[in-house]
Amino acid sequence: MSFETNRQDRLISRLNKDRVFASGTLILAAYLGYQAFSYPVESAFFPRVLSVLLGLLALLLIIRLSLRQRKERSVGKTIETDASTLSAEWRAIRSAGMVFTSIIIYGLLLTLVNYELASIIYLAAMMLIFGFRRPVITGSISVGLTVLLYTIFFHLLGVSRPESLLFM
Amino acid sequence: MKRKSMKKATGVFYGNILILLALGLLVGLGTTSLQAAYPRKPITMIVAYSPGGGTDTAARIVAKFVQPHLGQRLVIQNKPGAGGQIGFTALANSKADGYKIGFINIPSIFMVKMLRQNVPYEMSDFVPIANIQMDPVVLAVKADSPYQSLDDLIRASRENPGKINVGGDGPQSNNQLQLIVAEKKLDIDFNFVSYNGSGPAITSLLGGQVDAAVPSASSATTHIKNGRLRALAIFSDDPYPYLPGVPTIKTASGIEIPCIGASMRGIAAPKGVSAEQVEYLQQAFAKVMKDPGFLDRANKMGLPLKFMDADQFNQFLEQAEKDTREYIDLLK
Amino acid sequence: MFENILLGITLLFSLSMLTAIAGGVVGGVLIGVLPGLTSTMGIALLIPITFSMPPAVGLAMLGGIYLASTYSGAISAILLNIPGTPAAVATLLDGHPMTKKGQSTRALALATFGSCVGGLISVLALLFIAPPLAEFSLRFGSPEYFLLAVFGITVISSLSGKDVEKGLIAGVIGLFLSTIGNHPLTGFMRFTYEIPALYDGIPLVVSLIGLYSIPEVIDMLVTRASGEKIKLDTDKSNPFAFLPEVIGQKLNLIRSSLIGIMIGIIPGVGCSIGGFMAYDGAKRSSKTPEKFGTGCSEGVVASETANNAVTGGTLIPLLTLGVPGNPVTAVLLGGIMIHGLRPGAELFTVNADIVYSFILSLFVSNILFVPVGLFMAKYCVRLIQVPKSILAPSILALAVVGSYAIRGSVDDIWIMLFVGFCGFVMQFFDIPRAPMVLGLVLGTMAEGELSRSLALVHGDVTAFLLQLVTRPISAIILILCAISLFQGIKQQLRRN
Repeated sequence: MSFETNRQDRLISRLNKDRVFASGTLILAAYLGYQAFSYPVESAFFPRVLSVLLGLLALLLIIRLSLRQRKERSVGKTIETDASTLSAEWRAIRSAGMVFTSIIIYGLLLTLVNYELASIIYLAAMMLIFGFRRPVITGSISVGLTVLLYTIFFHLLGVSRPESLLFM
Repeated sequence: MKRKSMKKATGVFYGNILILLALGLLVGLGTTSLQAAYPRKPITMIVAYSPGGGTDTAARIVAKFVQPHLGQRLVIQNKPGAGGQIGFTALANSKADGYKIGFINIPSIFMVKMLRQNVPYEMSDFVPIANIQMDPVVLAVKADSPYQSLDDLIRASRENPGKINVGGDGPQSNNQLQLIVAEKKLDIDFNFVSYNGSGPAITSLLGGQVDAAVPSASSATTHIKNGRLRALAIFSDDPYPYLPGVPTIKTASGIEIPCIGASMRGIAAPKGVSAEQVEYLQQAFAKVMKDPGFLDRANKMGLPLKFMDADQFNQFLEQAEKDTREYIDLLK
Repeated sequence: MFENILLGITLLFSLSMLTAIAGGVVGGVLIGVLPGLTSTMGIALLIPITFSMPPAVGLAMLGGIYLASTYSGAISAILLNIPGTPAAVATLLDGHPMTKKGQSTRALALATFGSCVGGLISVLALLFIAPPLAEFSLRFGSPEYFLLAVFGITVISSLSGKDVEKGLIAGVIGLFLSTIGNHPLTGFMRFTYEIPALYDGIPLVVSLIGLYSIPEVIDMLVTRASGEKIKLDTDKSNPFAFLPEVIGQKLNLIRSSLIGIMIGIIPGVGCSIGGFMAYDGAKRSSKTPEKFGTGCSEGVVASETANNAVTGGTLIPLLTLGVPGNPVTAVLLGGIMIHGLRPGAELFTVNADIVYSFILSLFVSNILFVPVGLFMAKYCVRLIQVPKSILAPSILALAVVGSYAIRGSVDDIWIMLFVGFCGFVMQFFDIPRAPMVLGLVLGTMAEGELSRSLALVHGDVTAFLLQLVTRPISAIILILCAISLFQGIKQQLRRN
């Protein structure tokens, strides 16, 4: 475990965050440009221009970053990322993973069972996972919020509930 | 002591709820056994466009007035997106138990199918029930435009082929289809410019940004009546009731031009509904089309109505599909 | 005209009228607070209810919804960093930092009073100078719209923070997102991968939910684990104590109102752009532009004043010409026509009683949302004290149900998730998100109007360029663009 975090720390400190972003943008620009140039010009003039612009901006950012780094090096500053922000970053990525997975599960649950059941289960489970451990309150909030959202969206505004496989 | 009385109170409370529930169940059972016939519960109607648009407003008004004739509520379900494709697909795929019907737009439902690849419905997936509305395309110019009549505009386009700008809902809309059919039949060439709906096309015409426009008649009526726009012709076989002075395209040009761009809105069910249910629904919509309250409201709003029963609607659909297929390649 | 106003007043003060206004305002505030509920949707779904009412009453209710929901998006933007409506995105930039500093009551009060002033000024314009403004609005053609979009994009430098490249990258990505779907003129499908839900492009509200709700929840989880807590409201003062502060910003109020009205009368531009442009204007003319983005009162006031000034502005072409300027007024037009009323000169003569009582009801709505909003806000402030373990799942559930409800489509949940992923990546790398929203809002306009301008001159590029310079309004916007760009570059150079 400690070995792993250590390796992760080194990985991030080697790759400066901004530079990761700039390189990522460059790759994105290349992909979008590849797509845009495969479409007929009269329908893709705008995305073509944008992809070139995006690539140029990413390059500009990379150049500015390395200039700034050189300047800082000549002054004698070293870029060190302190451990606490690093662990915060990994925590952000882990939290993000959890949030995205949970929404995927919720979305699938909505189409599998029905809205009411899926929402109550999702809310209760998420509160539990996020560390709220008072079953009565958890239960009443999950039910209450489900009913509230139901009333607003499906009753008052008359939107139809998502169609589900198992129950109506 | 206090807790005890509270417990008693909650006991009484729950008791009451139980009695109420039992009563409710009884009443519920009673009504079910009395009304075993179709429809036993509200019917849902899929609308393939967003809430608040022309199609949706028309659907909601029909839904409101058809309720007493249907004996149940008609609930609107908006499934907008992809020019109607999402809603039409949803209708084609829904359960044919008679509780799901759809408001379909013609010729959009054909055009989506013919212009795109991998559209997952066939026209045979739908059973027509009744047509409600017909909104033709109108050819209009600004009130101070030099073009006083259709002939003026045709003459101008012959002198400058491809140079006269005509705005309209687009791209690949029924309005554009209608214009292209007219261009072919009249042997002229306009420069069609797409706008994001009939409304923006009218706005640009009012501002003199285009020379003419081909909006839907219902959206242009206000502007024509208050004298800001002049209608040169209406693409319809019969005169348009809300614009009595405007000639049909046949009268104005002397040439037979198929009016396939007119936007028809009707009711259809997914394939597989029983004949009795179709008959019941058709009757209900036939009655609403004679309902004075509905007619009065439609008249106030300028909603152009045209009723067809299931058979007429079916024949119309077959003919319209054939006509649309004939001209659709011009749009590609 | 004055007898018409008097006639309107007599109609206005009836019980049914005032109840309808109050109902509309309360409903509107609720609609605006919840991300995923839009005024367009609220009004569209309520129209069938209003047609059994007398026209004046029904319209007053719809007007109340429109004004109140445009304002109340600020409440969730300020407290939760999640804009309740697209119009509140610029409010969030300074509103949420104020909350973080423990000044939520102040931020909410500034937003409320600013909205009220902006709304009132715009209704005055609607009442007294609507016809000439409406005629002016028709002079905007495709070249003008194109340049207006370009001008909007130059605002990015004001929204960017430290590194202008990052803001520009965010803006370009936003523009890219707007190109998803069919081309506005040719109908060719781009970046859709044969998914029908993408054919019309990604809905703005769905992407806003993803862009702000998801990163906010992730942030909550991170700060929860680190034990860091958002400061509670430390200034528990009466919101009315901040009224003088708002009134004191006279120049800001007038400038933002004018920007809002101008943006409002031009069909097809919308509330969020008004907010962004006024924010940009306030920042440029401020003596302390570096304070913007850190909880600056002028930013909140500018954005909120302008986005409510847009509401009156959009009603000008709607009522005088029957030309709707944004999705809400397009739906409102349906609500007017359903009563057999025809917008245009006739509306102001034949139906003068109805139209004037409607306009006067807007004054009442604009004032009424102040107490309603502040009352609601007083309870909403407690949201930031709710444990994160309850708040975070609730926001996620609302995000999912809200994105579903916009088009009644489960696919939109996945679109929301995709944009949420973009939002998370941007937050992770410290990239501002506001420029992305700006790009998303303006992209379709920039692309569509450029192609349309070219189509109108039959593809002749020189003719198009000539038009940009020779058409008077487009020449003025062109000059504004140049000034804006020049200023932005100068500021950037000075900072380095």
